[in-house]
Amino acid sequence: MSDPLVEVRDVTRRFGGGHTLFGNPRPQVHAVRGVSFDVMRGETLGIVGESGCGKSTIARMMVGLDVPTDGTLHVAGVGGGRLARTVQYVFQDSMAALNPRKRIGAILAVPLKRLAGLDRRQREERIGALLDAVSLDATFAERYPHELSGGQAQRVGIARALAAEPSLVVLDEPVSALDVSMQAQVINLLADLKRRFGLTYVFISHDLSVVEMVSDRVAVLYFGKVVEIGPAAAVFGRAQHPYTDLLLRSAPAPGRPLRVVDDASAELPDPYDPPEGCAFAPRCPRAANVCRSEDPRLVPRGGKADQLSACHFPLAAEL
Amino acid sequence: MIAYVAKRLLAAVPVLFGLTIIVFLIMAMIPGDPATAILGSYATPENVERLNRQLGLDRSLVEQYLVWITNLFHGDFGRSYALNRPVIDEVMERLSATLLLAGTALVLASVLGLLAGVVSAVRQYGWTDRIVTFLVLVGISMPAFWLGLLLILLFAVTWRLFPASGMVAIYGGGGPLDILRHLVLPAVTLAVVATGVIARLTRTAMLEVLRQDYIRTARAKGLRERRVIFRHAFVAALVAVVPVIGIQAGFVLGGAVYVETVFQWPGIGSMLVNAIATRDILLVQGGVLVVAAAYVLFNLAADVVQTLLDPRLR
Amino acid sequence: MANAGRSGAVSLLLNNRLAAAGVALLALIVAVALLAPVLPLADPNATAPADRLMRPFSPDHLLGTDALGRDILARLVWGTRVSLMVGISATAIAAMVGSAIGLVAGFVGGRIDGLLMRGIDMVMAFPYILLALAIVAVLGPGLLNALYAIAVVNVPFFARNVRGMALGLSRREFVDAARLSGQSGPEVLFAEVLPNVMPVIVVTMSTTVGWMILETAGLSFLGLGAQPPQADLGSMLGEGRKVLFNAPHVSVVPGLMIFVLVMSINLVGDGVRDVLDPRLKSGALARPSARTRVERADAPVATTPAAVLELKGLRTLFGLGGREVAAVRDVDLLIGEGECLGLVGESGSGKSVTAMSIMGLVPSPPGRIGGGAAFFRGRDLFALSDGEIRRMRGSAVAHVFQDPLSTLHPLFTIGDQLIEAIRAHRPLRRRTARQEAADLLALVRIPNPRLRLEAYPHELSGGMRQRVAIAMALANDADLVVADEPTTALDVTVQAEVLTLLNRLRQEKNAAVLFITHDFGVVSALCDRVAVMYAGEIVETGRTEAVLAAPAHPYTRRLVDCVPVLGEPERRLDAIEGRPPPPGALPKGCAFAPRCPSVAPVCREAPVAVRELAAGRTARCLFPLVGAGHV
Repeated sequence: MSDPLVEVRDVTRRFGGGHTLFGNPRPQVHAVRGVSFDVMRGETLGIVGESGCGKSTIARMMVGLDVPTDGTLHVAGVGGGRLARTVQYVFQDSMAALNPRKRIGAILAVPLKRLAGLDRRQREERIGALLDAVSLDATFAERYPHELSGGQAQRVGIARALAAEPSLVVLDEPVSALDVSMQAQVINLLADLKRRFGLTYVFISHDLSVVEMVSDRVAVLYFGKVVEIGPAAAVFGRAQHPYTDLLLRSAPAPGRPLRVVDDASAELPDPYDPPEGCAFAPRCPRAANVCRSEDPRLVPRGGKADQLSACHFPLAAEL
Repeated sequence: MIAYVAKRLLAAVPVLFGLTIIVFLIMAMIPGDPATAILGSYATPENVERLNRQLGLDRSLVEQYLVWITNLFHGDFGRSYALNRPVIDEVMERLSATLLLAGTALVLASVLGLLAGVVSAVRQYGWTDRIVTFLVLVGISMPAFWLGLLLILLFAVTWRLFPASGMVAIYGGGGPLDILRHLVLPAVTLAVVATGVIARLTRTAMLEVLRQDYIRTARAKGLRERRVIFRHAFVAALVAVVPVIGIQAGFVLGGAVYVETVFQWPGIGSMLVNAIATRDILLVQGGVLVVAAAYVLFNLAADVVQTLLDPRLR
Repeated sequence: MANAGRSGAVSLLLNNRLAAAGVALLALIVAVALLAPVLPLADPNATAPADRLMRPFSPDHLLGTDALGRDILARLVWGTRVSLMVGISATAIAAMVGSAIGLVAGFVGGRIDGLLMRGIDMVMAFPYILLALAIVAVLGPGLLNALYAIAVVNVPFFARNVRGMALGLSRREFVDAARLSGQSGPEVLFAEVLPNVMPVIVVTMSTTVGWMILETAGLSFLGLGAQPPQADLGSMLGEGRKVLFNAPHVSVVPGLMIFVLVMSINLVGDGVRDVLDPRLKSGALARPSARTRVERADAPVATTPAAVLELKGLRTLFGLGGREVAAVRDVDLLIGEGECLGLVGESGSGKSVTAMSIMGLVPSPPGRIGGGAAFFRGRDLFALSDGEIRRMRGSAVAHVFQDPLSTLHPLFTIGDQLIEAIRAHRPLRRRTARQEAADLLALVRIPNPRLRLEAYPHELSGGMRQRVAIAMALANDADLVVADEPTTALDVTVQAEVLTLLNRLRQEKNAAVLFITHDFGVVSALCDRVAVMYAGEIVETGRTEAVLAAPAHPYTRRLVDCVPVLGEPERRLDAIEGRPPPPGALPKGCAFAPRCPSVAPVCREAPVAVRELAAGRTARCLFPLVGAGHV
């Protein structure tokens, strides 16, 4: 459990940019601004953050649907896009990820043929086994996507990801679009599959309680950077970064009163023009001058080797 | 806003250049010896030599284009040998007649089309909607050249309400009222198809807008239904319809070819048909370029109006 | 299935009466044109100067003769044959070339897309027919040249439509998924993208073929298409024009034929478009009226007139493909003065429909109120006139909706929208209303309110927009605010801020709130009482703490247990197996029975009534999990 399956080093992704025909620079969105982390073999790394934090961009880069502007990204020692056999992806919008004009069986056959190299008879057997693994009837192979519910479509998406027998599955908000009762079914299924097939997960979500439940370690993203990373229990129990703390206080939970102020004066910085210092400083109650001029580095703080945060004035360090 | 218009005008420049390139390439497709083909029966040795010099036909295609476009810049569109006068003079003389006809038809089509579309959407599936939908279908299926003939038969021959052809009466004509009388039949003929297209699109756009969340919000605020439809829905639908009106300008300018022929309206359209018949290629080229440029400006205007309506485009 | 789908499409087309008429007419025309060689027709090219310009219905010449004495009927049939051939060929060429360009441009993208589309734009920068004229001018008059010209000028329509679709598709998740499944670029293009683009190509073909026939006829009319002795409908019309005044039938007949032919094609085209356009298929383009239709047999009487809102036996129906299903059944609710009631349920449970039914905001068609009543301070809202309801909307009862981007009008400034909300109910001067609007923005803690009045919705963040929506709901001191998932679309930190704001304002203004959500955490933060919905029914109501601590209905119990709770990562999620029943196929007994762990045979026998377990605590269950004592 200790050797890294994924190594992400200083990955940056900018969109747009370049020059117009007349030489004027085009605006550039800084989606991911220098991110480094490892994913250990067999673990589940949760990535949390709000919209615009770059979590989906990181996911797409990990599976090779997008390439970093700078930095490197290796999965099992291999870099640069050609990763399909070892890395698979589960989409947030499960229905949109299925071609409306193809039967489920035909959809599942593609990775079996292209990636696993099975012949027709082997494919048919495997399709049955895959559907069974995600608790769907074999008759589903004959159905079209529009005949499926959201939960069933997501099961098909998971089955497709498993078809090529990957070692890493990147799950991009896999349950966000589902109703709560379906959510639980899929979360339980994912845990079950991980055990059975010895998978490694990267689980991306904006829902803290889901991430807390499924993750061994958690990375918290804010505005294209990792602000805190560490074991789930540590990050959720003794958050160091004020943003992690704000997230935890904001998450609604049954039987808990509201614990945030209704102030709207602070918002996300402009992604076209990132600030020099800490991106969270304008919203941070602890911000000092140094926070606005100097971007804090992601380092272990509070005497813990495995919990890193990027803050000049971390919370738990004082304890 | 002025800056935006200036920017759009600037962006139209490459389009205009593109137009010249396409026209030039089409002309380059002329089979055989171009100068002789262009001149047709006017291919006297002097004329052939003069045209060869003017077009630089002994040089490469790019050089030929550069010579040609430089001449265009100097207002030299070549010479119509059939009419024995510079192309630019003939085209400019006829442009105003075409713009008057096409402009009137476009305004007519826009007003009627928008009105019919809104009424039809608001009374969806009612009798008004059915009648409008049927009329629209008839309109867009109508050959303008045939409709023109029918109108002449009915209004000019049988009922003698309007003149059958021309822009001014031959004797003592030329006043604004006289022109207006001559304008009615061709403008209506030309407007029919565009009215249908605009009405149809307005209806769809209105129906699309009327089921948007912000219409529900407007109703939840307690606004009167009239205000919901004519302010909240219509303005939003207009954003989708305005570019189509711009595109319809192209169909109206093109349709003018038929209508001007049928009604012998002294515009560029009828000029083009005659020029093609007499193989007066340079006149065709000049006429097409000028009308295309006018169309680019129409589209530009539609763009600007759309941007005025929709702050998201600014 | 695919075959069933296809024949389904055909029957859908024929169900459309206009389209069916078009199909019949077109089939007749095509059949006659195809059979031209075997039909007992006169020789279309045999001239007979003695018989020139005979009127229609003459002996031997049903439609008369033209200036050369040729039989018009024969020429009409043969001319139609030519026009059809030319129009269809031009369409096929334009479709093939245009779709290929569009597919490549949309799928490959980048520089190639830019280059191809600039070229297409250039062609489109010409007034349609003018470009065709220029091409004919160069190639010389002739039917084949006219065909090419018309095909060329129609290429852009296909290229643009197909490119738009292909571009949209190549950004769709399923294309990404196909790539990740190991498919190569061309495979993705042909196996994933093309099948989804086909409907667009078919629709564009069916809507342009009429045009192309019309335009080639036009070129022939001008003498630039078919050359004698060959004749199509356009050239017949052109020749007839020369004798318009003394023999109008020579031009009227072929013109009428063109018109009928094009119209039949357009009818079919419209039908095809309606069938292949999924938006129209689902009837989504039906225009909702200003207020939900009310057609109820019974009108109950208010039992608690003092309540701000009382729903009694509310039943809201939806028309679905000829059938009517009840989305909301027998709903009773009570909201007291200044009380916040949370209405919780999964998607499709009917919670939004319930909320929107109150002020008649359920779209009609397809929805209608089929029974029951909503009382606002004892007044039956369903019995009020449209004008009375309109005056109450936004003043007595205000709404906040889910997605603040789509619920604010994109073309008006938020200042205009706020002022409009204020002035809809109070005859204030614009200036005064403007001041009030700025005060409202300050109330919802938007910084620089005066400046923000000038902002358009798209210039604000999601949280800001929702604050504006809340400000708008508070504009006229509503007694009841109906909030339909107002924080669901927001990020968690923003959601917390907005919830805090809502909570403060409802207490300051003493407004009652009906808060619709799927999240028990949100309910717990805000609501005094909660009602849980399942399959269109209220299954449990009670004080929020009581329901959360000890749910009485098995569904509530499972719903609470299947949600992960922050700080309790070790909890095993108790998923609810199965799915809710579709509203059209409800079980006879309790709607939850098929999924219920503690179901008994009696549960399946008859509908279960609501039982009061204690004061203010009800459950629709024969075996509630808590006795009346445990409240």
